[in-house]
Amino acid sequence: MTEQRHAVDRSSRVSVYVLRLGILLAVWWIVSGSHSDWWFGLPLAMVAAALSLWLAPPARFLLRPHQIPQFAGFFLWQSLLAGWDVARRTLSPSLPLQPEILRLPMALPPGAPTWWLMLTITLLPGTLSVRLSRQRVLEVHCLDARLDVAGSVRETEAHLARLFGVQLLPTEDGRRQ
Amino acid sequence: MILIELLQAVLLLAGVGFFLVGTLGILRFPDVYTRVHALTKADNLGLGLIVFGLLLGADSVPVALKLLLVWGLALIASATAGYLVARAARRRGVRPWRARNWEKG
Repeated sequence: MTEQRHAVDRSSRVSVYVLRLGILLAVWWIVSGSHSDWWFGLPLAMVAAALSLWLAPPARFLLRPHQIPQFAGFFLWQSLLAGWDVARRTLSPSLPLQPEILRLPMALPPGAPTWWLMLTITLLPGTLSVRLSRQRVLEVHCLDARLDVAGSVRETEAHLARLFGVQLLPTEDGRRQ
Repeated sequence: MILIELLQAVLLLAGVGFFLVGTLGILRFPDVYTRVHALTKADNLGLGLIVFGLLLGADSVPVALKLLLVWGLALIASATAGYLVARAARRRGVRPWRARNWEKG
C-alpha cells in the first residue's frame, strides 16, 4: 500500500478492482445495517466497481494510510476554525470582509493531489477554489485579503504532499518547500 | 450517563447554531463568492458537530459508521458544489464584491 506510483498494467487493474470492491462492500454493509441482503449487495458492488474502473481509471497516486490520521487531525481542526471564522464575520454588525481573488501557482502534481487541494481549501478558513487554469495557476477567492492566504494554501499543499507521498514541484514564482 | 447526554445536547445545539449562521450568511454576505464561503464552511462544521453529537448516542458500529459516511459524503458534495458555483460565476464574468475601504494587509 505504501508504494506511491502505480503503473496501469493488467495486474494493477485487478488489484485496484479488488480494493474498490472491498470499499463498496464495506459501504453496503454500513448502509444496509445489521440485516444485510448480500444477494443484492454483492452483485451491485461488483457492477459498481467495474463501472468505476471505466469512469475513473486507476490513479497514479495512492494515499499513504499511516499519514491519514495526521491529515484528518489537520483537516478537523481547520474545519473548526473555518466555521468559527465565518460565523464571527456573519454575526459581526460591521461585516468585516475584504474579499479578493488571488492567483496561486500549484506545486502539487496534476491529478488527485491537486483535486484534493482544491476541495480541501474550499472547506478551510477564508479560502474558496474558483478556477484552475491550464498553466496550473489556481484562482482562490479569499474572504479577507489581510490574512496570509498564500501561506495557509502552502501549508495545506505540504500536508497533501505527505499524504500522497509526492514531491512538490518548483513553481514559477520560485517557491519550494 | 447524564454527562454524555449533556455533551450531546451541547454539540447538537451548537451544530444547529452553525447551520443557522450559514443561512444568515447567505442573507448578509454581499456576492455569490462570499455566500459560498458562508454555506460551505458553516454547514460543514454544523453537520460535523451534529454527527459527533449523534455518535455519542450511537448503539452499534454500523450506525456510527453510517453517520461518518453521511458526513464524509456531505463534505465532498458541498466542496464540489461550492467550487462549481464559484467557477460558473467566474466564467460568466461575475466580479467579486470589494470592500469600499479596501486595504492591502
